[in-house]
Amino acid sequence: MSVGPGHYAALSAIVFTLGIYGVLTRSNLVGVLMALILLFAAPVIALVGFTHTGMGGSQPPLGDAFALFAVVGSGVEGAVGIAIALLVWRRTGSSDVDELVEVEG
Amino acid sequence: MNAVVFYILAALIVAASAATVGATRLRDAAAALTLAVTAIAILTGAAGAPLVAVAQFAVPLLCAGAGLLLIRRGGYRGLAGPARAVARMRWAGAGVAAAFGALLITVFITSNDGWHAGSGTASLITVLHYRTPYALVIAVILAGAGVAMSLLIGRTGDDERATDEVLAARRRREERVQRRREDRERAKRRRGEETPVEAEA
Repeated sequence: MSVGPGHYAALSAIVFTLGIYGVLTRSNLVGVLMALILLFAAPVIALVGFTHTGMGGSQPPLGDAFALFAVVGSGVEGAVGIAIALLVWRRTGSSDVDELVEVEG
Repeated sequence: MNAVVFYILAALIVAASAATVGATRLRDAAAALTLAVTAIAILTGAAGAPLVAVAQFAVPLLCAGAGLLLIRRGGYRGLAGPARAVARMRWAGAGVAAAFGALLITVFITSNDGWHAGSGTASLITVLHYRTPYALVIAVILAGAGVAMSLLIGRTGDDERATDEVLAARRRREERVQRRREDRERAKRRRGEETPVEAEA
């Protein structure tokens, strides 16, 4: 049995769904960041899978370029996320996302 | 790719992802995330994209390492300390995630065999160098801007340092006053006099 684009798409969808669940349900800022990294990794699976499976046409693997771009985006998101988490911790002394609703100005 | 290898890696990725979002302790979640990212990188490499695999492995772990170093050495231990693992709206979150999952599955079922069939004949280096150099340039700019932005957001400014010093001085003053009050009350008690707290009672 061969592995086709659909397999990669299904795996990507599952990881993406788990990532969304983590982002929405995690209470700790660091936990939310971890779920976000997972969320960003999901499209990479699909992009690489779509590029390297199929009939082998003449097109270059542009999907890999997009995937690399997504990975860089994930890294940037992680760096900015950590910076925001540290800033929030310094200002409020809390890492609980639910408590940030009450933060003003 | 061999189907057996794919299914083993897929099972590992799904299990590690579920553990990342479900683990109660952040330490366990971090270990699970490391496993998930490594498995995704191996899958990517096995699919035929070694450069993406290296980036997929290195970038998140580099980010996590830098974050861990900051948390440990920068006095932010409490940030990763014990906290409620699950938010108040966990059922709503589960519902939204399930809706997204159902939407994706529906799209996959209806798209049937209409997937884009890629090639993989040219290497990524070739693509980035000759075909889409703009993608590489934009990625480099994005990375630079991201690092600069995170340093800008996460830095401790002069005004913030001054405020921290004022707050620390106030805290020390209050502790000193409290200590003196307790010493006075202890001394009075030793002399057999009635302390203000006892007088009020």
